[in-house]
Amino acid sequence: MPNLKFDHCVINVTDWERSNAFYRDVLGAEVSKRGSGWCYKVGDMQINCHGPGVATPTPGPRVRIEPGANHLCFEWRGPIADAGRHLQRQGVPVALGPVQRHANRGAGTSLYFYDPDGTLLEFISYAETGSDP
Amino acid sequence: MSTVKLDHCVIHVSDWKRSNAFYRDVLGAQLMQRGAGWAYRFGDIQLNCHGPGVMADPVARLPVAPGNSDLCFVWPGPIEDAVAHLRTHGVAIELGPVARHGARDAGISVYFRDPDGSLLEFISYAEGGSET
Repeated sequence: MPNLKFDHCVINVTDWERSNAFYRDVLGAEVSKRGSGWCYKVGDMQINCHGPGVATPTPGPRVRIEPGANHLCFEWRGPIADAGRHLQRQGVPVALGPVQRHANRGAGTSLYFYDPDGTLLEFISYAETGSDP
Repeated sequence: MSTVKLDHCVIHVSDWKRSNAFYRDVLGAQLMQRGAGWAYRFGDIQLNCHGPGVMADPVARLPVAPGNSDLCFVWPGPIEDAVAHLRTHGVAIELGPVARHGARDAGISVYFRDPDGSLLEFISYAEGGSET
């Protein structure tokens, strides 16, 4: 079969203004209008959003995607300390880390934080592979 | 800020054997042993799985549950091939082909489900812009 490439995933947000600012400033996403809501473009993939004013799409997953029910990880291109400073500047508390993790490109160092609705987000840096947190 | 790129997202599976076979055969994922469980790799992005025997920490405010994900993958060819592929594997099509807008704009999608009920989508941009 052909090689598939990831295109988008779906989260649910409860406050467009709050989430748009968060994904723009903390994730560096390009915030684009999508129907009566918004989506967040990060590189060549995007995060589609359910949210206020967006009709529950059909079909949907068997279990509804609630606000705060996703876990997404993004590669931070640079030392994890820079990611920590970036979160601090944005006033985003770090839930856990830096901790050693194994992800797509092998050993890395991760920081965990939450989006405004409680979706778990993670920055992983492969720049310091092998070093202890 | 430095540009970030998606590394992985998390799904939850209730039966490793069933989901491993599905993601391998239907999605073409490379299965990676990961602790007590598995991850499904698609090139430079992967799905990390919560599942039997896997203790995750930290977790989302509402931990990812079996069947509550909605994920879309680019099918690199005509959507008819995706339909034929799903049929070959006995996977029911929930909706489609329908015109959709994905990360690369206009495309044509088919929707189906993983064994736990998460919604999956193949989008083809090969015929982008045409109406179904």
